[in-house]
Amino acid sequence: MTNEDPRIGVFVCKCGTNIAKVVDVPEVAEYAKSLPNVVYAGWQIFTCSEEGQNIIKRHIKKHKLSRVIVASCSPKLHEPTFRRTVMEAGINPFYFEMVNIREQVSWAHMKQKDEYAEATEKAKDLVRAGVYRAARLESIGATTQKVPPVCMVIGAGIAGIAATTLLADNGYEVHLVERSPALGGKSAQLGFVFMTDTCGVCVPPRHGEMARKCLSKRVILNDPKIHVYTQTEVKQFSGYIGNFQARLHSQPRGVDIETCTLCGKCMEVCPVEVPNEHDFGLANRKAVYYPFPQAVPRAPVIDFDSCTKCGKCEHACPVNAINLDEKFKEADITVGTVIVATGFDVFKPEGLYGYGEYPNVITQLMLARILDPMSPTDGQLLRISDRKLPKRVGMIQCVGSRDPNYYSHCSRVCCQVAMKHAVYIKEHWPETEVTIFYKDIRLQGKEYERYYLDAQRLGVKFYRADIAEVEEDSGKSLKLTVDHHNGTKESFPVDLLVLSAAMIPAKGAKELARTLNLEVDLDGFFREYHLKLAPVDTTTDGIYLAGACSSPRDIAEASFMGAAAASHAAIPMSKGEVEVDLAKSIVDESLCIGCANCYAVCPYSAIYMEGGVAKVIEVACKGCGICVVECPAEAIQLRHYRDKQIFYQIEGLLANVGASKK
Amino acid sequence: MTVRIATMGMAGCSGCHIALLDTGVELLNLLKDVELVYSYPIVDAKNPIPPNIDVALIEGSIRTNHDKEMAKAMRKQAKFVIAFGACSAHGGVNGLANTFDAQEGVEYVYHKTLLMAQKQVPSEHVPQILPENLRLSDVVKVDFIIPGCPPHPDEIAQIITTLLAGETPKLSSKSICDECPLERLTEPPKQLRRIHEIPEQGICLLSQGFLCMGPATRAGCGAECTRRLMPCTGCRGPSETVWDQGIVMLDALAAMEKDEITNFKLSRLAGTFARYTYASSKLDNLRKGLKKK
Repeated sequence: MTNEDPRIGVFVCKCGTNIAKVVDVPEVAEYAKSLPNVVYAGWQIFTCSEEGQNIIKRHIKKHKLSRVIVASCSPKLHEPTFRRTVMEAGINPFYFEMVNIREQVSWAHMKQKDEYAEATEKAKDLVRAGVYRAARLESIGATTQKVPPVCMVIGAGIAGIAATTLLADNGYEVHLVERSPALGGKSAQLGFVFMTDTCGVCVPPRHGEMARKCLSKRVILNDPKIHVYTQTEVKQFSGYIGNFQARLHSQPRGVDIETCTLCGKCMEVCPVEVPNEHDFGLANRKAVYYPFPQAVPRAPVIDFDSCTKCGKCEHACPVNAINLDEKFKEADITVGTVIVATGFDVFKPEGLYGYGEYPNVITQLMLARILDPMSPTDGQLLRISDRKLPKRVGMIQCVGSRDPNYYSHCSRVCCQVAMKHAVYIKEHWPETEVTIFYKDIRLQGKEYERYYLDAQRLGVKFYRADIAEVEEDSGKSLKLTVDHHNGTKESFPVDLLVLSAAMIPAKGAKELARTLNLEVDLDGFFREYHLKLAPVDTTTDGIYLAGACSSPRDIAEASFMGAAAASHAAIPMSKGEVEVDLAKSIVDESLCIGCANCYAVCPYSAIYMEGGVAKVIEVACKGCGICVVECPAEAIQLRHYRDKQIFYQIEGLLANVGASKK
Repeated sequence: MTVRIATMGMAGCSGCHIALLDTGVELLNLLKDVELVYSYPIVDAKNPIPPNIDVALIEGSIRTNHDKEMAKAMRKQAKFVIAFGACSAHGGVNGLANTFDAQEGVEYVYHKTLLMAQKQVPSEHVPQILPENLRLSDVVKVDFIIPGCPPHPDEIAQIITTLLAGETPKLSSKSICDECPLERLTEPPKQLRRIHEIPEQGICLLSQGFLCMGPATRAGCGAECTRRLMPCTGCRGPSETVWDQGIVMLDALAAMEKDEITNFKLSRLAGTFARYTYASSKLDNLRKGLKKK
């Protein structure tokens, strides 16, 4: 604190009627004048407006204010606005204090008219606490952190590839990390995708070239700016924006991508055959195999779990590209920003509607494999048990979604997927009957209504029903029983039952969240910083989300979310640095006893131990204050929220206790 | 010129006076320049408190209205008042009585305990018990504290010597850990350990999971206990920056072992984390809050 007495200005906001309807704003402003160190107090209709901010600046000059308090909305909304305002008037931004009398006062009491008078008193109490605190605020500076133009993208599905290509096009270096042996994510399993009915492996197009672009070797693998790591996971992760360190752990591929000539001899001689997971076991593959026909990188991969290491492929390979003793590889990379695009998994509805029990109960994704022109069935609709064309196809919606027993969310794409498959079946096999059993049909978005109309025109039956039971008869056909909840039940025979299973967080999402320090929501998806205002940001600066890892999304959304994440990640990288204010934890090293408690509890890995004392990485610190609380020697304080500042604020809050009770 | 010193005992065990006598030869040296004008354990003190006292050492907490009046009387005569020992400085072990209602406590002692059963609570010729056990600074202005239960004789001698030289004594602002020779580990303990378990030699007791109050406790005793592998119980009260010894340690331990700590009952919390400071701890507000409900 300076020796001079602080000169505090208080600006109370009406926020139109938002605050003024409940709180007597002029009375609060009048009251503020009586508080210690307050040299000016007044009210405005919209303090955050250009006009309102100019008034603040004028009064700062006129009254030589050294502290500014705005009593209005949540600091989450306008604290940055007013900090900028006072800074423009020559005051340190941390000499600004915000008092929330909207969310915490007027909105909280809006519905109880008899509480309005008390709400005004409450607003006064909060303003008084703010005035006490403002007198104790300190001037805080800022530091900068360099951000290299390198980004790590985790996940090479639609969103990850969209982000990667966009960043590379803008001249940034990208490390693209993919867990599976091939790029493309779930979309690679889709023969054609809804809305445009285009091929699943060909999206998203890069600008200027519409078809077969993204997954072609030419674009991603040959771009000098893009480093692709397949069969790779992030093992260790630490650091902060501008200086993230990741250890990438790659499983051995067994086949050298560069020397392989794609002759296919290894696959011919391999004696091991296992079901192909890409096709859900509709066909078999060898232990050395292409993940799928158009897979990129374009080289076979060895499945070391089923490989017997007989060595036949090694002998057969004319270019010595195969190494059966290949070990895992680890690479350490340093990146400025990170985009997480790890996508989703399809809920396995084990035990629901006979899934896993009867062969003819499948999921929509498996139906997509069957209908794919490149599938083992050559795109022919058939049922699993006898490989014959089913006469009656049933689809059940919301399996695992919108279900309190499983996942509460709507998976958002299942209605479109069911519609797409129903229309496709009716167009190709008109005699086959298709019935969709649904809870609600939710088709929003461009062009989707057309699907619905097409389906109705082609004779797809829609049945709003609750399926109580699924039984199999001797001919492997299924009997669906609908419970009308009025004592009557109705049966529907079908030959093939397709379940629209939920989109759920990808396998390993929780572990990744722990590695990267991301928050997850109730359903297990990564939590965005703000659902509407910052949907691609996370609570950690420099880490962004794209695609279905944060919520179920369709391909179009994943595509533009990838672009959004890329443009957000590009902001600090194009500037080359970020400015970080120093309202962060600070260690008094003479008091620190080196117990490492703070190091253990810090959720942002912002503390490290050196020479027996704790040190704070200011760029990584988010100012949450957990370390302050747990420090047994009180050696850590949080600038801007020092114990003394908070105690003084509480003192201010309680200064009138007894007096206001009358 | 001789310095006139008085000592006084309130609710306490006279242990601090014993510690004063324990200064031994040093005491004899001091007495050359000191006139002990009032001190009930050492010299006859039936007379009223004499005037013009330079330094008053007051041991014990304020438990009865007699204690309160005596403290005020002493304050009137003394230029420099020292809260002598943990009870006087922070409320001491006596402060744990504040986890109970004072009147209920009196009732219990006179009606429920075996020896006193059915006896009347005396009301004449005895001082009345106060609703709460207070520290000295709650009733009179205190100029300095000598912490510890009891204070270390060396420290007592050193402080009195400093005062005799006309200087203001100073306490260490750091924590016990600063004086403790045990080696800290950079990992927090895996689990809490009980006092009867045998600690490993040379390694920080807190790191080993023992509840050592060292980090939040004021240095100055030379870490006498912990260097003998006895966890610190915090008798010297909070160090300079620690705003509440019990709560700060509770927070720290909660960060390490959430489940065990949150299952503690208040009476256990008080005795464990605020053994000497409960009377001056905000933990007592918790009890008051619960009582109101």
